[in-house]
Amino acid sequence: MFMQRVYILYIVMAAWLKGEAPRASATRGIDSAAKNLGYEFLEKCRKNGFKTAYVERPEALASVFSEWAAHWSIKSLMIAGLSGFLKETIFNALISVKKEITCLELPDLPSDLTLFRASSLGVFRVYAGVAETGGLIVLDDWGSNLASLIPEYTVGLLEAGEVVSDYWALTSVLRQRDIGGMVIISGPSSTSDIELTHVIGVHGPVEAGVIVTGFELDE
Amino acid sequence: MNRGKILQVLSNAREIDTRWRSMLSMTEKSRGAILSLPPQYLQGLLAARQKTQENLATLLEKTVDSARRRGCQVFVAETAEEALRYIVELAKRRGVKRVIKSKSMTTEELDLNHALSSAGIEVVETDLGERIVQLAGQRPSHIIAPAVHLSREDVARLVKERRNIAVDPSPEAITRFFRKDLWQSFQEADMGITGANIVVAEDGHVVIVTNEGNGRLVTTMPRILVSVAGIEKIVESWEEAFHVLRVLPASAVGRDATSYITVIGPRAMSRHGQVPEYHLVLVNNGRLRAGSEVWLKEALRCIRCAACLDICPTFRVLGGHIFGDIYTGPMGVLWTAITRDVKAASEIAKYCVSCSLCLSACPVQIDIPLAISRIKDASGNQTTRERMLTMYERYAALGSSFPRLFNWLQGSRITRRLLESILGIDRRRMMHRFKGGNLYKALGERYLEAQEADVVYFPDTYATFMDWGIGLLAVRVLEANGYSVAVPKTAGSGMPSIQYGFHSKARQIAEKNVRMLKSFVEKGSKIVCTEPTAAYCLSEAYPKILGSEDSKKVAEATTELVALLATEGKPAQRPMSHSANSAIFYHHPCHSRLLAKGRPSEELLKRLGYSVSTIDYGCCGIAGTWGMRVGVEGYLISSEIGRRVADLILATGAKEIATESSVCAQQLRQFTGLKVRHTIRYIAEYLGIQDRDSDALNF
Repeated sequence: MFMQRVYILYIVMAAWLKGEAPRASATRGIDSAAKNLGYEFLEKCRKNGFKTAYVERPEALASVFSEWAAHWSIKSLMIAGLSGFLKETIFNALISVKKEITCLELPDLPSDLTLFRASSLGVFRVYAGVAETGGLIVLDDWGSNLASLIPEYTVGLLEAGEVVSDYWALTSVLRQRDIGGMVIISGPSSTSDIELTHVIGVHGPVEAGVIVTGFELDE
Repeated sequence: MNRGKILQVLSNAREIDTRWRSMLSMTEKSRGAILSLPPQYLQGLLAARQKTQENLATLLEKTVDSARRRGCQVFVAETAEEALRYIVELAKRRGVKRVIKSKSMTTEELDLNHALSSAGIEVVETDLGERIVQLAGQRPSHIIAPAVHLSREDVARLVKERRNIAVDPSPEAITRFFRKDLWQSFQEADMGITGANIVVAEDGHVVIVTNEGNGRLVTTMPRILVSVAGIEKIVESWEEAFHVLRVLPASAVGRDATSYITVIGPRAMSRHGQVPEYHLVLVNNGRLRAGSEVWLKEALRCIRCAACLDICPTFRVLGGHIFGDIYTGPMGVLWTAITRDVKAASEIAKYCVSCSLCLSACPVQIDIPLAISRIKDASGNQTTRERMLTMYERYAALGSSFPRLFNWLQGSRITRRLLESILGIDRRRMMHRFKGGNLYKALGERYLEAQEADVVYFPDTYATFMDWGIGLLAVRVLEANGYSVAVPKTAGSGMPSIQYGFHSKARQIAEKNVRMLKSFVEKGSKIVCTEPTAAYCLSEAYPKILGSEDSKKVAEATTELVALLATEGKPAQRPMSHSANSAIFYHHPCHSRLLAKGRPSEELLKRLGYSVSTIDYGCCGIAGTWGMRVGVEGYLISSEIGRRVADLILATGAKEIATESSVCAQQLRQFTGLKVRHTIRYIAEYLGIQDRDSDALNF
């Protein structure tokens, strides 16, 4: 118990020193309640039109990406906000099913983003999930914003402990962080503007996935 | 009234069918989603929006302060012209060549596209529906589905004409085309312009809700970003903003959340290598003035969900290019009064038929029909025929004194033509027949002079003069349930005066009825009505028109008779001997929806063993005397609704129809050809009360 408190204090202090608010997992840990909330969140995401998966171990990520990518036409990949180990895991999983994949580095000043658009997969770090509505919170950093918006296919990753119950749980986050902006993604881009027929894939991703992990992503 | 345009719309059955089905489906989805929300979300939303309504000036100041603290460049535009000047000059100063926009009704209100184009700046709408209407050179016909009036073939034809590309007329292929076609605009635009669904006063953030992803691209790609917000979009805190975010998508599209909720504020960097400029333009344009108008200020609560458009019977037929100015449909009338003037609003107010379905659908309880009625009143644009229709009760009283003469007049082709040219009653409208005599005579003095009773029966015009058999049955059923009954002489409810905007007359009628009923209410009597519109007037309209304590007391004591029996009645068990096995369709009158949750009549009929089915299609399209009015003034639009409703009812295999509204009965009988009976007749039949005065020609 004492060690757990020390650990939480360490995470909070580290975040404070970096000028960030602590993530939900830092104060909650990934316990069974968090896992259940994670499942509830994924169920809602599924209803919203996301592909969904829950993985307990980093190695299991590979099989989810291989399975999903088998159905997608992907030639390039961009990853934002994930560690080198996870990047490598995802890239290896993809080349196991798609022989030719280019991993694109997210440049600071891209003049033409077309390269990132068609036949492309964006993988990004989700700040928090909202269980009640199946929403993925993406903070306004350049990489995550692009990776979750421009490519044809996108996958967001978050830890089970980062799922909150509803929007109101975000109030403190919004007040603590001096954020320029934020987006809550609750499904692939869609429209019903022509005869109210629902069509997926307008200006944003055509397919979107979300993976909740039972392990810490930033280790 | 633009007769030519209306006739043109009415001649396009396919367009009406598309809109009718779309709106019906939107209403159904929205209703389901709203019902599944925890009640505290709706209560929280109402409280938040009431706070905005009452404190708009203070919240505006707070927003300006906090947005500036965050680094926004804030401009408060008192008028549309000021807002336009600011944005156009900014674009010119920064050398902007192309602007991309996400959907924004406030910029439509300002006519921003025209102002930018006149300054030589290209404007590209990026919301799919908005882009389609932009290419068509039209304005949005619906605030959240701008191109709902166009079919897939229309859009494919438009793409061929304007972009010289042949596209398959399927929503999927058209969407793919626009995804590709607009990409270059996103990449090359210098300035992005968004609207706002919410502005959070505590920190100056702007929130937009979208589905297509264009809102995100507009806020991400250009080097300059401008958000244009009507000041009524302000809420004080994030807690309040979340209430809007939970209810808005449910009420608008029947979902828990839209695909994207974008929180906009000054960004740290852009792909252009510099800190992007962010401007917030807060538009007053009549909103603060509306806050001081008792009958308009409720409109400031509006969250633009469009539930009032989708449920509106005339909007479903006419669409927003006729029933609308910049803002369309029922709420469009109020927003035209706020952002333009009462005269402009009164031009579209005539398409409101006072069915009140918009009030029942509004998540922030704006009394749209009563506000529209006041707009009609303030404009002074009412016609002589409308004034004559407010004398409906006198006509009914005369008819009951000379039934043979009036029934003959109503049946003769020549006199119907005369009625049409003088009173404006369409000769194709099937009319109720007069029975002769009236309820007060039939009941006798005992009921008329009673000073105390458990229940006071308020019959309204139809059950007093036209088919007083319903009134008699009502009294007998109440007595069979153990209630003592009084039937004091009251005036008709005065609904035509409210409907056509004659408020001083409506006020006189309301005062008279409240004066008559208050002594009973003070002694603990309940007031019951067999006509839903009468119950609506007593419980909803009178307290708002009079504002007196007496009217509020009367309102609290009022209920529909069948609703009372459904909750308190104890009908004795008797053997069923009649049409219990024949399939009955229950039609839920519009005004009943405001008075009780669910459908108590349908539930009661089922409890009594009747085989009842129903479909919630909304209004049957007659709306009192409106559907009787000649040609495009009423009947032609009413019959478009009536025919579609009849098709739905007949498809259920029903053999007869139960309802409580006398005018709905008129419409349903005319278009289904089925027998229509007041619900009280089924209850009386169940109780074994003989209906000696039933007239097969009436309901």
